[in-house]
Amino acid sequence: MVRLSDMTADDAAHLLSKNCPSFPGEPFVAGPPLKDRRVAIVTTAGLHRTNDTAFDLTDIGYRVIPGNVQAADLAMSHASVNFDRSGFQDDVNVVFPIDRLRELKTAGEIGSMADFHYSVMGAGWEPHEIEPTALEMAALLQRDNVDAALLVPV
Amino acid sequence: MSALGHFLESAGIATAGISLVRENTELMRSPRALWVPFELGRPFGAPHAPDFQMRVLKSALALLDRTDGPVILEDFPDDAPDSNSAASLVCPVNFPKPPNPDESDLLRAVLAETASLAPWHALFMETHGRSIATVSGLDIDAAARYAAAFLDPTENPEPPEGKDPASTLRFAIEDLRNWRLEAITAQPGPKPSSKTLADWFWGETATGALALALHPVLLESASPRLRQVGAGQLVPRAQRHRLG
Repeated sequence: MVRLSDMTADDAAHLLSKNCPSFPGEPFVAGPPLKDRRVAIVTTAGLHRTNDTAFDLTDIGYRVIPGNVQAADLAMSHASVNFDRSGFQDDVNVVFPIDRLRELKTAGEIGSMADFHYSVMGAGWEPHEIEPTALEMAALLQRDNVDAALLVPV
Repeated sequence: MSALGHFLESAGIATAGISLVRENTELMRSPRALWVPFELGRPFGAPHAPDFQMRVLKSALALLDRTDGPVILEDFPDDAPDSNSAASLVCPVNFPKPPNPDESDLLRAVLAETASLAPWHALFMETHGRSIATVSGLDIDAAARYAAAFLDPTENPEPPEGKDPASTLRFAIEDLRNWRLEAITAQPGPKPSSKTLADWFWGETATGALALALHPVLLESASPRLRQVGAGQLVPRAQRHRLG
């Protein structure tokens, strides 16, 4: 489960009604082999540290999640009520696979992990509106020598 | 998510993403995406399934070694492990829904429900070491009192200092819901599915009844933000058939 055909008609229609533009240019950045890459997680799940500011209804900013974050220090304040939270309640890795990424680093399958990961809240804004936030995160990722971002929706 | 990938790639960061809605990812022509047939809220499939989560993660990251862009959309072949059962759940509080919900009756029922579930929530905390029912900044009974106060349109409940009333209401309801889900899943027996949990919360609990009773009140509020919460951030689409 769940494909669109598994959802309620209302949920499927809502998802298919979203504005989904393609952007000109289609950039596609090459890089070193995965085993040499420095990887960050960028999630749209509305995650943040428990002592950080929760996401407002149309919040288009980002929150910083330190690479050494512990599960108990992660909260979620996504504006949508139309997705399951019980998986995240039980195990943060079902949304934010930080432990799995640590295991890949230990196994030498990625080069290293970013010192900082990033979270936005993926509701309440149009796709083009995320550009300034994305560019700011990109600059921070580059200062952290990150050359690969794992993008995770919710 | 696809837009984020486009702008990060434009700035020189290679991306590989998970896609939950294949149709939309296809339209937006993401640079590298792995579509997964999992329910919304579970992009890595299932909790406490580290081997499965790792397979998803490796499949997504493997796209970074591909050179046949600029648009790659792969399908993950397997459904999430079905570790959850459709076992029925029993709320420990017998809550007969009043025909005309009254603030004090609903609040009493919610507080009683919390008291009955508290030992199970304590057990959840022992086993998990964390709760996600913390976003409102209110303790769980204060969250109930804050939310219930909105049933009276003449009330103007005070959020914690510096907090927005509408956001605090949204987070209070979310904390109350998450707290109950944490408690009920600590009870013995097979873990219920997310749908069973949602149906239990919205159909069986006093807190679900409180949220349903708030819906029409918020839609009539003078505050645009409270109307916004009532319209879209209170009752999931899949549960709106319970509204009057």
